[in-house]
Amino acid sequence: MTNSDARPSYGIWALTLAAIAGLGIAIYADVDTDNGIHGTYGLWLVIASSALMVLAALALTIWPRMTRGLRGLLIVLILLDIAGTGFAAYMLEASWLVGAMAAALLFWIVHMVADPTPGPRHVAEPVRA
Amino acid sequence: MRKIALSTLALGLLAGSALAQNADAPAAPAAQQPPLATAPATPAPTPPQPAPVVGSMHYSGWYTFNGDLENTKFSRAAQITPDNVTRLVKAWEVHTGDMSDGTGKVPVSDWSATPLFVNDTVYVSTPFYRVFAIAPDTGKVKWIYDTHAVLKATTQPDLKTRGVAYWQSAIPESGKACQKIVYVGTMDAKLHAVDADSGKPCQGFAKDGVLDVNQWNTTNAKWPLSLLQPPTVYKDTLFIGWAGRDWTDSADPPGRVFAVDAQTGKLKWTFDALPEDQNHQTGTSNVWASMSIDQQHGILYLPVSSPSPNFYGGNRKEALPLATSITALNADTGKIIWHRQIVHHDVWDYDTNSPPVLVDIDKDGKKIPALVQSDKMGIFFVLNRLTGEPVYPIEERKVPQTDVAGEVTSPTQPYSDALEPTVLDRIPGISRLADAASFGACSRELKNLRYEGRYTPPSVKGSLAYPSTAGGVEWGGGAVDPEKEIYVVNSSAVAQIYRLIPRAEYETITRNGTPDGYYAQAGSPYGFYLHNFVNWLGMPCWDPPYGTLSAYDLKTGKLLWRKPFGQVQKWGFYMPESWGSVTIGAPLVTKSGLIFIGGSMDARVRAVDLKSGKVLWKAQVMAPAVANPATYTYKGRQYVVFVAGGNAILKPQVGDQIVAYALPQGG
Repeated sequence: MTNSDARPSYGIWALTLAAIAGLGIAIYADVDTDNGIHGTYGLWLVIASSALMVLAALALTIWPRMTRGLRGLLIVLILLDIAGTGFAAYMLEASWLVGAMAAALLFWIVHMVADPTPGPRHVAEPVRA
Repeated sequence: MRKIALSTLALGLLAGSALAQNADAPAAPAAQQPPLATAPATPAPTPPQPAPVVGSMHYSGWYTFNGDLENTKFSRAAQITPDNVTRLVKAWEVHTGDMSDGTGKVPVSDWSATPLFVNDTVYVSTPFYRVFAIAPDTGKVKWIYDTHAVLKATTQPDLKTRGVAYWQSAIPESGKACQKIVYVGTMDAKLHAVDADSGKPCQGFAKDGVLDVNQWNTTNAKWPLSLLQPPTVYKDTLFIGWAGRDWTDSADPPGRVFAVDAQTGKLKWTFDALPEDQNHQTGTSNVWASMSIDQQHGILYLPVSSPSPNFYGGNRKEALPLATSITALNADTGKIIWHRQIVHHDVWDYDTNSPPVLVDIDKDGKKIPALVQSDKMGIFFVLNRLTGEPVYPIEERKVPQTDVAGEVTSPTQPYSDALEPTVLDRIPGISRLADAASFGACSRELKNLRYEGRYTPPSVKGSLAYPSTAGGVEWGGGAVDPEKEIYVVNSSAVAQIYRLIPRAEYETITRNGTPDGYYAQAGSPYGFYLHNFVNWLGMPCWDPPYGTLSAYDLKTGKLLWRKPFGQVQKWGFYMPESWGSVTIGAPLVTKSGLIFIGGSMDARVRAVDLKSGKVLWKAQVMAPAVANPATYTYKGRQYVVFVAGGNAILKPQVGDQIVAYALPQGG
């Protein structure tokens, strides 16, 4: 069986980039000692949640053999992660991170609407004599 | 007086830090034939000027803890305006290195030092009791003086300082040192005098430049007199108050103010707020906050704190008319001119915690020499400062009575609502959020407490105190524009629980050490437990706002505006602005119509429009800027300086930053 749709998955790639950007912003915020949130539990929380988002998005991007169930679970978890990280960033008044999460949400929608539906990766048929 | 360590508070939404309460010490700063630094709006440094006089005040430099001796915290500087304040940039900053989060051997630091600008220099002391002299335009450190004080929390739970005082000779002798002196006190009662130009000790002051104020601590000397508040300097005299502990014992050192010679440290006179025959059963009623002075009439105003022990008065039933009072003294002799008690038989620790603001008020066609006294209750008393008589009515209001055996509370308390109090007469309501998060624990706890509004006395059952010893208005007090006659003040609204604990039970609880929030009140039949009214997450159980900023028209008493001020921050998360924040440290007001203030839990400093109360500018600093800010003009450029050092009452964040803001150079 082969992948039913050969179109590129721009949405998930963009989502991955947005998640990476969010992680970078959160890490930078922890380095910047003048922002009022550096070194706080709240910031460490969004660093962790952003990192998990990056891992989940990468998994969706580079692991096409994933089962439909696991893929669906990751997509839902990413949405929850975006919402949670975005809300936490709002409470931290970290506007750049809020922006990154807004972008991630947009790309998540793009992924759901426009990305091709991945199927199980094609498997070699046994050769019969 | 006093200072206490409470429990959490702070309002950190989910907070939980330990609160410390406050109390402190002594007297205040300076002017003599002072200096006053530079000129108002634009000018360059000027030579020493005669002392500013009420009615023709200079309002130019920042030569005392409160900007001037009248405690106006007002500056004529007008280069920074509501129209251009958004363009402020950081002009310079200094990190002193003197901070401690309390995790090591050094106690946590609490930095509330107002930067002085005088003698073309910015002077600041640190919580490690070092003095920094800083160039006002570049931030370059000119010199550092180290008192080598022992960094131990002898009377307070943390290391703290409110800054330095400054004196200058009226007739300076050229080439001679110590014609200008900076003074800094330590927690162990040493007052150091340092040459303002060189940073060297003034050998002619007391013993090698150090006055041991504890030499006069001769009655109930259970602890040293901590000099955390800088002396008040007037003419050639230093007025020295002190801080201590008034919650561990009944009979404490009695409140005494010392007047000493500014050059020699020689004692001129003393003032006692308590009758000598009461020393065996009470003490304190000291002056731990700053003082103000009517220079025209030579009157010294003392904010006298509550007597010990703080929360039980059964040992001190006699009238103590100067306790928790405003007391006016002849500055030359120390003799009482008038006094007015603002809390009778204080069992709430409602110390008079800031000096009155002196301002002339146009009222009913007359110019009245007035003062405005703020307090922990959020009530304002406006008095004729020459006579102590009310300018706005004061009534004696009936209040709830004690049910504690051995205690006798006052049937009435002074009350004035001509200036709308900043704290409501009753707690605004239970926070639904906090109540839900605690599955109704907030509501249940309130039902189990005694609460009958203001002045509900402490009880064995447990009483809700709102306002509480945490304020109301703290030691910074308010600020005033004496020309517009507008008074500005920040205030907190904190509910706490007061519980008296019979002695035997207290001994059992503390057998293996004293848990946080417990106070012995030894010598009385009750120990005491004090904690914030918060749920298990540390969320305040009462409705916001927790802190406000208000402006009043003193000509009419009308409230011009009141806005929630600052933001609660917990774990980095900012709570809604409508909640406001508990604040520590006062505002300043400029002629151009701006209010500058730090003070909030979110470690931001702000500029607020005097007309509307709108926040026009804010900047992040290293830790809550709990010190009074200062402003000055030097070489044509106006600077606003904040000290960001933190205070455990707000949250466990400390800093060592002195930061100045100004408009960009060249426009």
